Amino acid sequence: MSKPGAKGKIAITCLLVIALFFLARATGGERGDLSFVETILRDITAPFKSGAMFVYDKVSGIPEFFTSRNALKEQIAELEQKNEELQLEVNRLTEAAIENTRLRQLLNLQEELAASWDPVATKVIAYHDESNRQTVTINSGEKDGLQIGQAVVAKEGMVGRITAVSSNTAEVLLILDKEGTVAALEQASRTPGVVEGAGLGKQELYMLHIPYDAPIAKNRTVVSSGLTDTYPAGLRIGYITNIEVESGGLMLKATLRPFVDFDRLEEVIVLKPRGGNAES
Amino acid sequence: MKKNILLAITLFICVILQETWMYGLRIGNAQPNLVLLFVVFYALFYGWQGGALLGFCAGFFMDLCSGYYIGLTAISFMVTGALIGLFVGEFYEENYFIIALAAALGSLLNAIIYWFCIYLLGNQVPFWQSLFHNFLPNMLYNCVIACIVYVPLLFFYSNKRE
Repeated sequence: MSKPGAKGKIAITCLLVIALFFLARATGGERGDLSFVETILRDITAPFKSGAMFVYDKVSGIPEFFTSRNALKEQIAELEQKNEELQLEVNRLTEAAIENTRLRQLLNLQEELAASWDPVATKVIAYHDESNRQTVTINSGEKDGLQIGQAVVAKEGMVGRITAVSSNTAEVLLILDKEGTVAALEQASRTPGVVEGAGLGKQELYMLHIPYDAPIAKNRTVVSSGLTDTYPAGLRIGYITNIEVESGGLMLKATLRPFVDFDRLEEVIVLKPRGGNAES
Repeated sequence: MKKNILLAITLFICVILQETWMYGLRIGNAQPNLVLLFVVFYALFYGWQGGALLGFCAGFFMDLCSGYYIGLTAISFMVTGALIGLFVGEFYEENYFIIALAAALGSLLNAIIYWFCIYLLGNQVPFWQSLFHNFLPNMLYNCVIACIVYVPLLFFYSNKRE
């Protein structure tokens, strides 16, 4: 039997189309059951379809995993930024609260001192911690009536005295400096002595020339005695941390821890004596 | 024989994927028809007779697997495969324009033939609405998918031929 030619093939195709059409017409509409071939084929293909769906579910979950991951990342970044902003806000408010407390204490001190002194509140604008000289610069000067020798205090206690003034600034020699001597007395026993800085950048003071039998003890407060015109009496200087015999063996020497934290000195008060110069 | 087995496996995979994965790739009303694209590609390479034969097998297999009117998909695929094979004739394998054009034409032909058969069977589906809501979006989608699928398919069959 010879193979059909092109025309024959076209004719077969047309016949097949017609046959299929009638098949479709016969099978369309409500059918009670599927044919045997349909049932078999559907059963055979079912596991493959379910496998494909399983893979599809897994694969289609991947973009969602990434998108949700990205969304989470964005959310985390957003929250981190918000957290950072809130942290900054907290810092700002904390700073404001601390400053408020500090200024309130300074104001109280200013009011206390105002009876006999003319206090000028000012700010420290520079620190100079050199090996041979410990000073700070404040942003008030001659224009504000500041003069050399005037005492500078902070809310915690004594800071130092002015050693140089310009029209807008002044240099304050800290009591930490060896040159920053102050006439003092141990508050409880009223034992007199001279307080000077330990120098060399140490946050320590020495109280010298204490009588050998003076009833002083550790942790007691030392205040200014007011024997000089520079400092008013009763200004807190520091507390005793150690007592030892001076090199001569006749006097005692006490080591003091200053009340003022000189590393965190921000606002200070300059005490201008009422109606007089404080040249030392 | 080997070629026929390979063809049958490819067709089987295409039908399974068509009934599972392709639904997930729907964009609006448009859904790619992987089996139809396979028939179109085959018709491009093996002419109208190959296209018609594969179209018939593929369509009939799909009808039996999940069809309502047994034979309608077979008609539409067979006629589409034959017409694509007839119209396009010989072409340069790497001419993607022809591939996209054949996919678009095949998609539209298949949809129209199917619609016509349905119409003859007494189902009044509005043509213009179907054209704009289904046929053309499907045509565009198939066009895009054809270009994407054609590259690995060409590579695979080129290697097999060598």
